[in-house]
Amino acid sequence: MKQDRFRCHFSIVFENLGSTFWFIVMCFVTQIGNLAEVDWSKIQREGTATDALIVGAILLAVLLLVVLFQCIRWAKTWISIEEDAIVIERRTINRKSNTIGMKNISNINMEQNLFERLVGTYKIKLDTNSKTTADSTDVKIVLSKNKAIYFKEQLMLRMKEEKEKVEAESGLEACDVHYTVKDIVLHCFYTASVASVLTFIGILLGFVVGIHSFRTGAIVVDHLINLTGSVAVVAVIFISVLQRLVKDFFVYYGFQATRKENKIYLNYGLLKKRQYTLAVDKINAVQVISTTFSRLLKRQYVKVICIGVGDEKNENSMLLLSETKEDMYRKLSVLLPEFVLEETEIVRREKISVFSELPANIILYGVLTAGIILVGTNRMIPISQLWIRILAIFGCICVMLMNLVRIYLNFCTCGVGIGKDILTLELGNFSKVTTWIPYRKIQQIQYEQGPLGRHFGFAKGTVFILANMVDSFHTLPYVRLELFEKVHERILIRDGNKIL
Amino acid sequence: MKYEKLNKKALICMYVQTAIGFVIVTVSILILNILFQEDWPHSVSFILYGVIGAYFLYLFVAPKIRYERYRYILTQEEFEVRKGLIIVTTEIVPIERLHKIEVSSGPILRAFGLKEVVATTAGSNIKVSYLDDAVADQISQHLKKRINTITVEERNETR
Repeated sequence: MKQDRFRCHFSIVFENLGSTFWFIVMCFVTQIGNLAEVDWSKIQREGTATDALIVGAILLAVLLLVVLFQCIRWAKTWISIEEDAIVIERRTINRKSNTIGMKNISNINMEQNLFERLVGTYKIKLDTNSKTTADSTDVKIVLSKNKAIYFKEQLMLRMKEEKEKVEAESGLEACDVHYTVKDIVLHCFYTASVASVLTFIGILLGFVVGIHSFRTGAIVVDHLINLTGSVAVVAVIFISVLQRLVKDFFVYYGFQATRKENKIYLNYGLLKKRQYTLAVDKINAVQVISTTFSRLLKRQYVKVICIGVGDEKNENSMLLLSETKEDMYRKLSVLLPEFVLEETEIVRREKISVFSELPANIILYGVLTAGIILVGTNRMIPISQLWIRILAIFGCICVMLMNLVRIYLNFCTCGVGIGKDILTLELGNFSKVTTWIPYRKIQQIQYEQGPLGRHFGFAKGTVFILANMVDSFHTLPYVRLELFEKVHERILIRDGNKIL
Repeated sequence: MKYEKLNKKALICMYVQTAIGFVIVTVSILILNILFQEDWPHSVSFILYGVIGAYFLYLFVAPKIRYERYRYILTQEEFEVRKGLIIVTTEIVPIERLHKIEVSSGPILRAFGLKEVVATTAGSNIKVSYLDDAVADQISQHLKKRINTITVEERNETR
């Protein structure tokens, strides 16, 4: 890679072919054995091929064309590092040249999936400070390991951060935060969704009961054969639930985080190695998240909101795994002290706004219940059976009560903290998400007042920050209007208090 | 700080826009009703006529209220817009966060000599419509100048 222009590693051709391609190839490979059964002499004699062979030949031709297309695309795509920009040039039918200024690059991340580990390549992902591309990784380059490291170093050098070259490597060895296998297993447990755990336990119980019935002779082999379809469905659900429960273990295995000057280096992953470099000044917000379980067990994990990490599907911008509050603050004060400057007093949601939700809730479920009773009186509909009606009304009441509990929990959870430099937002019902946003990172604030809000002097609102679509807006719950005015004043402060 | 209100032309424009919406909805409902009135119960037709009646009331009441509530402030530091009918929304953007200013006008706005200004930040955008041509251009010029000044100031600070 001494030359100025270079191509991606050839293995990118295979990566770009996609899973559908490989599925079709696998179908072909598994059918090769059937070719032996084809009566070739008959085909030669009659000069006609069977339909399956024609379809197969067409598919094969399409596959070869796809491979050829990817090869041409690879051969015609050149990457070059210029003094202050990276240029990616593609000279296929559609000629394209992307120039990315060094100063606009926010993150250089290295990633390795299972295939890349086998081939010995790394995927380098570049992200720029652009809202238009905030929802996806801007540039992906696949290079062999040595070239990838060299490329990353070169970029960092060009970004006038020569020191980073050494630190990027050393940062992975001596880390500020490290999680053991036990910590990661516990994190998987704390962050599991209630539905997943309940389904998992239900299926396990069902399995145990089934085995017991089989042993006692309540179920015989004939029954089992009849139940094959149901067993397969349950097995698929079980596997998907299990996968959801253990996925984080593979993703966050060996999680390490290191702070070096204004950069945070993250390194984790078992099957897919991930190395992220976060520029602290590009972090727009920090979120402390407690899922239902972790909230009950007083644990929380921390993720950051910035352009570059968390853009891709299955990518999470995790900074700390599940911790107690004390441990979280201790580790956060090492990794990101800019966000733990002060303990802010949280102002809870306005009581009157909660009461305004109650009538709507009661009316909604009242109408539903009335509807069920009305429909039930129609003898043409089977729901007229008394016990079904009672069950449906009971269901409605249960949902209404659950909703009342949700409103109560929402009142207990939601709040706003107006700090000197940071706005704190607490949201959630059963789970809780605390978001810390420096005022300097708030792009816009918007608040709404309905007739009740205008009368009693409260409002609810939204603050907008630079992030991907999901994280770009954060809701402020119903609070006194004066709090919005304070946020308004603080976002206008330009000088001083620049913490990020 | 004093809020600026819209020109009277804006009120007429709002009425015209709402009237166009009313005509489209009414015609669509009438066509649907003619086509399907035999297939659906009479109650559906009554509900649809009720929608037309409600829209007719909205046509007379809504533009006036929206016009009265529509206001904006442009200072050296911020751009603020307040608007709404039942729910009043206030949007505030510090001028130093602005990236792009866009002035545009559709056919109806153009017919009344009005324009809208859309100011975009890295996180969202803020829009003020029904502005006089001259006022819209003035606002856009002010914002552009202010953004440039802030950029220069920030550049000097970092040196």
